[in-house]
Amino acid sequence: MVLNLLPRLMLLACIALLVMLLGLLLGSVNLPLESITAVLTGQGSPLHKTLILDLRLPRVLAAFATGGLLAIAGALMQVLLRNPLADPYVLGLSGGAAVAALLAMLAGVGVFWVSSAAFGGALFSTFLVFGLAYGSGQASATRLLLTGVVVASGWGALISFLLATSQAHQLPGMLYWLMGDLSHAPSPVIPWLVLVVVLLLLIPLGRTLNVLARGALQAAALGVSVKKVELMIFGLAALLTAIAVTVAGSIGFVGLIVPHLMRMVFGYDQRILLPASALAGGSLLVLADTLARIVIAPQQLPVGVITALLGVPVFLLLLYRNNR
Amino acid sequence: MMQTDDLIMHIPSRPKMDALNWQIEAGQSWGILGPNGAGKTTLLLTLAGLKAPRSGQVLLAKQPITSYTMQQRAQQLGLVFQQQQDDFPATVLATALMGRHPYLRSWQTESQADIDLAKQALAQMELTELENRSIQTLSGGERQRLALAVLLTQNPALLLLDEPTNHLDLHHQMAVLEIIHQQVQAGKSAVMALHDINLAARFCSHILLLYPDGQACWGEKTIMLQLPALEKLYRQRLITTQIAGQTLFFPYSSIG
Repeated sequence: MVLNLLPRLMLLACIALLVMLLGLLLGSVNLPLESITAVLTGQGSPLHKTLILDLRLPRVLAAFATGGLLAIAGALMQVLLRNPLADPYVLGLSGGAAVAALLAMLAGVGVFWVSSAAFGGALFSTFLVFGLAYGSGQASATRLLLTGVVVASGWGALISFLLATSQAHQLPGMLYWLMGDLSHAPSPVIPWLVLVVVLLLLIPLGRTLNVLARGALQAAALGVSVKKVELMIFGLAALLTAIAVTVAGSIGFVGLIVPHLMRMVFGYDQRILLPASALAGGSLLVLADTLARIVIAPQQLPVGVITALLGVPVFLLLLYRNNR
Repeated sequence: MMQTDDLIMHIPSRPKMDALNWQIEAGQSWGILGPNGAGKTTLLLTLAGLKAPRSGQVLLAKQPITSYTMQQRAQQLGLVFQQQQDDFPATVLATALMGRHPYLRSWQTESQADIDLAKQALAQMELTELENRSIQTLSGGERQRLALAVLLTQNPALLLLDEPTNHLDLHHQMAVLEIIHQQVQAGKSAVMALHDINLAARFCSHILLLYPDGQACWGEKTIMLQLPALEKLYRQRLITTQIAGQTLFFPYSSIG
């Protein structure tokens, strides 16, 4: 039954490649298709080489990996919390990352330390939420969700406080980070590595996730070690989100809408839904980042603005359709 | 098949409870009768090893249930819950197929044989026509039958059922209880929490009475289904009548 959907997944993979190609060609300077083949075969002008290999390729790869990580994290969180409205940030992860990143910016340290602070903040928030929710021994999905939402609003207040008390010249950088921005993305090697390894880990776990979506008790009755699996999903989702936030700040909506869109195309089997979400999330973010680079070129918009502008109408349409 | 060893369920609000030394053999079908909140569901969860007892232990094939992995347990015993969680849709067939989960390795996909088993279970529950429908569109009774189809697909030796006739119309009540009866005749065992004394009298070989104060008694149904015991159990006056050699119990009311 799962295998019937493989052709569609292949089609999606082709679309992903096409979108990445588009991301390489379009920008403040549009390149012809031949320039890619020329550069790849070692020919082509030095300008094209720099533009494609040093500037656009790393950025396109970083965008794709970030989108893929966020989409998988969102799909996992939705199963973990048995709530279709969960997204990767629902447990306060992006808030923790943001507060740490903004503090690093206020301290005036470099890009590397801002990213590291974001990663640390994300993990700290994860442990905080998990510790508070599971501390008493009994944790339901609702309790975890509630803890996360409350911790997230705490971070939100801290972010507002930092923005309100910081100097005017520091604000644009902080706001760009908060909206999600790929112009300072570090090397895409680690995000890609994590994306591929986690997908390979998750696909064999897909059937278990399907059973878990029927509720913790039903899953236990069908032989799932619920606590172990939930802990693993939580850890993986947190790691994926932390890396995504480190690469690009907090980018909204990818993690929420992509799994939903993929459910409409592929159905509910996680074994196909997870790779499909990775491909679609990656493509969406590459597309959004390409738009962010060309809409007001040579200036750039933060990519989070575009994903939200694309995401809000799509999500509302989804809700409207589900209501009928 | 299953045995409880000085088992005391964990119900925090009830400090004093009888220890259960209970034996469930192959070919027996047990009905658990008791008022709301007596602990019927807790007992089923404890038997399945999904809820830790306060003391004592549950033995499955003479081994403590805790010594089995979750997957091994799910191959031996299956549960039908009172409620199903359907926040995420799935098709009826895909849901029934989940009954094969305990038998599949993580890298395996369901084979044609697994799909045939699921379809057979759906046919037994008269759900074949709905197999491509989303579970979120099912009525309460259809959803309950699907939960039973998952159990039939799982095909365990011990069936634990929490109010299996919930939401079912009269035809499907009989159909479901007859299928459970057939399974027990074929050498399996069933333990079901029921609210209908007369269904228990017809379809169970043994009865366990669970009192709200923590007392329990169990045995063959002819011994257990006595008017004084049942009236005390439900704190409700009952009247009896005989039809075709069977004793039927009805709740008494001053109104009608």
